[in-house]
Amino acid sequence: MDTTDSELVARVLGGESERFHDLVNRHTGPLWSTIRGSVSNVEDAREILQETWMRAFERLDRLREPGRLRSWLLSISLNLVRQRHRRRGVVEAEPNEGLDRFPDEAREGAAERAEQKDEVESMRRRIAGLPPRQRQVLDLRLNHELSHAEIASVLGISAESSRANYYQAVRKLRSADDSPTTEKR
Amino acid sequence: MMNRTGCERVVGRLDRFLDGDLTATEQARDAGHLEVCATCARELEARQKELARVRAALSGRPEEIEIALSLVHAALEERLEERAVPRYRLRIVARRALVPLLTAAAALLVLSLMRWTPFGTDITTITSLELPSWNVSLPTGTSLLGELEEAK
Repeated sequence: MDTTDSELVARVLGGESERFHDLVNRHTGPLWSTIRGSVSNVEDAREILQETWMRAFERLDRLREPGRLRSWLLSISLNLVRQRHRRRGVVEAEPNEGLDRFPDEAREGAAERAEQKDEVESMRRRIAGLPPRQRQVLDLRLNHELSHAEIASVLGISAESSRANYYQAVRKLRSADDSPTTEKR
Repeated sequence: MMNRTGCERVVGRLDRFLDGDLTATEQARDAGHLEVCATCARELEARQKELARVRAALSGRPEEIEIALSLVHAALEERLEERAVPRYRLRIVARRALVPLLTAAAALLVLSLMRWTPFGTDITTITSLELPSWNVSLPTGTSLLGELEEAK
């Protein structure tokens, strides 16, 4: 899968509409995590994800820099999240509120796997305890691998602010001891 | 064992080192230190593992992604079909519209041609009109002045 986003976009615009599925396969994972982390209801998250892709499909010809597809998709989805929050009177900037709401998984498996899962769950709770902006930046940097300049563009902040939020988040996660006070069960 | 200042400097900006946010010179300098300092190298490894855990925590649950993905693909298929249908419909509509359009064009052509025929002109100004093998009928209330020759 070496085709770049730009090449795929060009092919879709050139008439190979079905290649849009490839873009969906490529970007849905990180996109889903961000959306899921921004809304508490899984159905809402699914609707937002679908709407994001449908809008992207309809407006693909308006994408000026196909290489920046990822941040464009994020902008669409974060706008949709904001719209939904506004409509429902949810306080702005509550991304990743869904992180600590993932359903419990009772699975068979090795103790090692269970331990890893515990670690991941523990980390999810610590991330959920971060301020909203720091969580957002952390997600865009590590999950979507956006540069600070791209994060700045998506969130409407400066690249310096993106950096500051990111390093603060990383430091907090390192110093957090996953105490019961940070847990939101 | 490295000097304390060097370790402090490297550990102090280790997050930036991992983020690739240092200048090329700084990055190379710290990388050199990390090569030879076991203590700092351990700290680097610990932070790398921690970042991997953060990444894992940030990524969604595979089963949730799978469901979401299938829903998006299904919606996209529908949209692709919808896109195909209007084009097909457009062709049908175009074909259906073609008949009245051609009829109208033909009527316009006939009318414009008639302007250049004796029928299209004001026949009252014609001093001599011959209509061989034509039957002339006049609307009620109108009259035709002049002499008409019988068709032979």
